[in-house]
Amino acid sequence: MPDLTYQPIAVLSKKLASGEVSSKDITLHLLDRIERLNPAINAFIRMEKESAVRDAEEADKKIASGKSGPLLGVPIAVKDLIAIENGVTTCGSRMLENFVSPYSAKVVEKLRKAGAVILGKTNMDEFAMGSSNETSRFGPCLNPWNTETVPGGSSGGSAAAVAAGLCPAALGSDTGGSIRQPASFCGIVGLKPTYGRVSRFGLVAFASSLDQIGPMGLTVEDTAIILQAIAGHDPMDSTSVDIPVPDYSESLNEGARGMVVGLPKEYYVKGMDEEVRAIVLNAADALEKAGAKIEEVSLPYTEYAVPVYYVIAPAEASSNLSRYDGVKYGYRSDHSATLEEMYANTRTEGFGAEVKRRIMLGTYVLSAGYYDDYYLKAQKVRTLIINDFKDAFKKCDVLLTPAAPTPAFKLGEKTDNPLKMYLNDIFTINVNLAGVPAISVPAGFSSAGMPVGVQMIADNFNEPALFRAAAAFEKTRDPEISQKHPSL
Amino acid sequence: MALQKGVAQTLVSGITQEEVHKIARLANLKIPVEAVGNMVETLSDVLSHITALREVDTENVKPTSHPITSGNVFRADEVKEIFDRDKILKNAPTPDGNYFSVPRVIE
Repeated sequence: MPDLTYQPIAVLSKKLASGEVSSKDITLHLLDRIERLNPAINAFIRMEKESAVRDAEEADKKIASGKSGPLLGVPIAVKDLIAIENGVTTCGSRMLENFVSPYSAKVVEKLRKAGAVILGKTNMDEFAMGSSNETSRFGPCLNPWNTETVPGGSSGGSAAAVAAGLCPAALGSDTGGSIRQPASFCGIVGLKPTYGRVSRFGLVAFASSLDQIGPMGLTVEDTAIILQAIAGHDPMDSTSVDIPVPDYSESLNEGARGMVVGLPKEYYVKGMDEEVRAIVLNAADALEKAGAKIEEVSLPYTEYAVPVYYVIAPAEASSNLSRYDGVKYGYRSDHSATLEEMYANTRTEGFGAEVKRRIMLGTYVLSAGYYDDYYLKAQKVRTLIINDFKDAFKKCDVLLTPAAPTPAFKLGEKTDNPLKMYLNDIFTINVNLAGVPAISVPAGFSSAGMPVGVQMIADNFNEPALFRAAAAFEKTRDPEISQKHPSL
Repeated sequence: MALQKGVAQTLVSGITQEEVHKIARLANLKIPVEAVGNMVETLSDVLSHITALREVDTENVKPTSHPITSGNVFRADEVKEIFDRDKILKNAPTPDGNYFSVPRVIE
């Protein structure tokens, strides 16, 4: 049997179509690999073995009957805040530890319709609130490149699983960088689509004006293949946008010639990690060699993104998470005499420390007397941040920035200092505030051998420009980047 | 920019213990006595970072609540069975027939 580890989706689907391997072969190979290697990194928190094998057999029958498709028979992992009917969806929290989804998320329905095999659910920060996967109810996920470091977060499990060769791709979600930062830390590709591009029906809500589901994979092409399958309007999500989904595969081979790539000067500040700076500037050189024009641009309100985000995201979270009261589903504290006490005990016992901190922060900024000075103010500065991007995209097709300020940091390094943890999102959260799409692509290694990604940002619904630039970069970068894998 | 006097004082000194208790009540959370200090400290730390927003002139700037404006979304008000009641009730901590039961509310 051919080597089935670290094979991109595009390669696997060719092998499947030609009959070289079956979906069951790939699925069993990966399930075995997960069983052996997952204990070292804790990327998966639950396997769906039986349904995975069943789905694989089903896909093999379809292939035998002449059907084909880029995801038919391809195994994929799903972050554990995306519902799969009759399966447990924990959101990394005690609150939902035993929650059985009564329906499937739209993205899961779409993946299944495309014939994908869902292997299991991946680890994450509790309620997606974190940048290191250390706040999970089920223990931290570790970075396969160095298990003393974090995989990033909140989609740390999805990133680590792909990086460790446990699955060719995974779904994550991104509210402030939760796909792109772990993709950078783990040396894989991660895409946050435009707000509204992918239905969030069946995604556990964190911050509703920021959340978006997106693909994480080994190659830019693979993320395009998955986006193609999951994008599109859904009447069940009123924020999903009803505009046609282009054929993303067309942009992959267009090359960067003629593209204008902007380097926002506010992202290249004094004191930034020198290794990260060098890697990003190298990426700019590579794009220039590929025929792109590099231009410095300015997004003057960049520095306010963290303060704006840490008003808006906790405010929305405090509202979204008010539904967890122990009445209809989820954890309920069993030692309360009154209803009021039951609410408070349930929430106090069911949520972890970081989730409670964000609920407190959100409740504070929304409370009487503070609303105008914090929440309304942040919403206005958000408008200015959006205008920055609008202006920049008048001049360039994509922006090139670091994906994270540093390579993966050590476990426990930032857990005592939430602000330090929040500042780790400095390069990614503006994108969520503006709604625009962005991709993180592996671009090099630090001297300690840890992966570093670069981020490319495009205008709303201009994922084709992202795929074009990212695929062109992937072709010109040091080939070692795609050949090197962590040794577990 | 006009700042309320009370707010300005709070922003300078960070959040107080009393405010932590008040916010916890609003959020239906209990903060154990030994954790109040840490909550005051970490929230104040974050809030002090957020005060940077005060430097920004937002006169005549409209607030953004959604990054992509698509207007209101309407649909016909039709009765449909979307979810299975039994499945929904399976997740209830203490279902009682077709009801969710909670601790006694009325004496």
